[in-house]
Amino acid sequence: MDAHMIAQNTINSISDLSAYETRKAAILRDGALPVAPLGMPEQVIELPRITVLEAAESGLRRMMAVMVQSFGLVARGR
Amino acid sequence: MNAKSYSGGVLSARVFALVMSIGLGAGAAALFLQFGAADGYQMVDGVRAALVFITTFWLAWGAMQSVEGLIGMRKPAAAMTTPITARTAILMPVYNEDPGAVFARVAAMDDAIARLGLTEHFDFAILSDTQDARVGAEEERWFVHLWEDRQQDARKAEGKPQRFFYRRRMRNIGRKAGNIQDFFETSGANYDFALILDADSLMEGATIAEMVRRMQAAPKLGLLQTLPRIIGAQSRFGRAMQFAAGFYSPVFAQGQAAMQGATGAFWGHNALVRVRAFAESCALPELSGPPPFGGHILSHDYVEAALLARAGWMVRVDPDLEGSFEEGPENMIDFAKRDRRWCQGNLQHIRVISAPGLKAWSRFALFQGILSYIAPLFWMMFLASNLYATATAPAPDFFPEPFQLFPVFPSDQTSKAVGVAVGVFGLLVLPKVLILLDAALRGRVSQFGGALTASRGMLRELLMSSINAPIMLMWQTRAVLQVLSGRDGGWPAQTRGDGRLTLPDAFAAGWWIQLWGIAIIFLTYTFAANLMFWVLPIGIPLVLAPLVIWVTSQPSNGVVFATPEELSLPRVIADHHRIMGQWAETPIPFASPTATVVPVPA
Repeated sequence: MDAHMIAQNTINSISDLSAYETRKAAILRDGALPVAPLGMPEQVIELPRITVLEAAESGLRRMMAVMVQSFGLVARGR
Repeated sequence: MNAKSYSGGVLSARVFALVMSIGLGAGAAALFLQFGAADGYQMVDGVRAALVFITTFWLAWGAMQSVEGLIGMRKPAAAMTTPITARTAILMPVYNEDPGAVFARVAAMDDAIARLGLTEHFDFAILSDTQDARVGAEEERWFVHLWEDRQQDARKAEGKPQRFFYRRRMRNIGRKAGNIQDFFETSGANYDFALILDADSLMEGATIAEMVRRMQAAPKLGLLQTLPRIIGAQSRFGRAMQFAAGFYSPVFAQGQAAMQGATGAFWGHNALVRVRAFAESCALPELSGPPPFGGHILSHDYVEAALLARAGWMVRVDPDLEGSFEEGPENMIDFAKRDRRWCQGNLQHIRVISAPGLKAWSRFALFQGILSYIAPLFWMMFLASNLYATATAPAPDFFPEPFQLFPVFPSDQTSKAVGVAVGVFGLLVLPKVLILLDAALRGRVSQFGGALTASRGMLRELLMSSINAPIMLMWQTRAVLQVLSGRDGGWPAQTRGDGRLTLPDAFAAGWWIQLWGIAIIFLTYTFAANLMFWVLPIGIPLVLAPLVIWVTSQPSNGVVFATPEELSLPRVIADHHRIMGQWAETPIPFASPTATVVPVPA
């Protein structure tokens, strides 16, 4: 990476360095991300165990829900 | 194409692949059971047949994707010409990367967009998660360089807003997904679309413009994924992978796209997202509990695709979009490191697969990702169970009945086991042969140096992948066992460069694989010598693992493995090289704020 650090070579005095740092600060300020916020609601991926079991109506879905949730519990316990 | 025929085609593609894969798996298992139970049925025979079913099903599933891809292969759609009205942010997330190379990529893509006269529709944001302060300081220096090179002060002097942004997070919360989310939460309302890249991504301006036009034309399209081609490989391993990605992947991706329909995949980069769709559906929560199964979601892309589909947005892979590039690992060690990360990320999806409201296909896609890492365990179990079954096989009983006059010779079912082995080999090889034939018929081989060179490339890649596969199998097995035992591998930065290894490096990474190879051959020789012929194709590469790792990392520059991008360098890649060279040669002085913008030559 150092081979590419050519910009460093242009700085040959303290005053140049100071001017460069000032210029860099101005560019970084101008290049900061524009402020235009957008809300991102956090998504639901895990439901509480009891909710999952209540939601699983059929026997097969219920069995799968229990298996997957059980694995989750074991994994969480690590 | 209306929505009904679209979903009908998707359904038939899924049913075809599923029925064929289950059928082939069941057929192979039935044949193997007859072979295994020829000397009397034992429990281990049932286990072996089940393992044959799972592994054959998985191979057949991959093969069916190629068949569907070949059926569905068509010429790329004509480029759209509708005017671009949307504003797009091109996001370049970086994490401890070489800033010079990264910022030159940004400049090259900007030139590509400028040639189309579309600069006013696109901004670039370099989103740094770099945690190394020294690299962070260099990024700032290179941003100054980029700012001057792109003459942003001159734009401002003309009253136009700047088009290049740089932000560095001091803490990389949520890794790449958190980095992107932070951008949307800060600046998302400014844009209609966002092109998400990786630090090594490069895309042609025409490709980016076409993606925007396609998304403008499909208001329900939430994410449009391209198939990135691997570029810049220099080693034997890297070029073999680059060739395989260029030659085979378009067909496999076409097959996947046919089955996925509107519930497609997101591979994390080189994809365009609709900002509103992404913002309302893709803020990932932290999973409860510690890593590796809890904490931040590592393989966020698959989950984001599933969440977009859950919210009713289309997620589409368009493999016909060319001009999308990335770099790949140059040696087996870097590949294994990346695979370790992906393994942990995919296995973590065990916690996501039951998320409420996901589409069935999204759950299946997550399951596929999990299975792709668990499959090596099944192969290892198959190998072990065969050794066990052979070592514990009962001696032949020629007189099973009392007072029997003539001996009964056990039925020789070996041909059935050979048939299964040939079938499995066929599932591995046949897709590649079919793709070669298809490429010859359609003339695609000319992009790979002609029919003869492409055939040589296919054969050499087949040989290399056959030798590499057992070594990869060991790494994947270790990775799965590490994750299952609760070891967090973290998310280290990707290694880039020529990737050449020394023999001591290769030995340090592969000695334990070598030991396993010696142990497997010794155990086979001692307890099941008649299996030696079947075990040696696995055992020999394992014993030679350090040598294989070292040899494959060495430079390659022959005509074999030629790719279209090597034979005719795409403009954006040439521009990247040119800009890197220019920046290394001539430092850019501070431009005057009143300087005029120099147009980029077409």
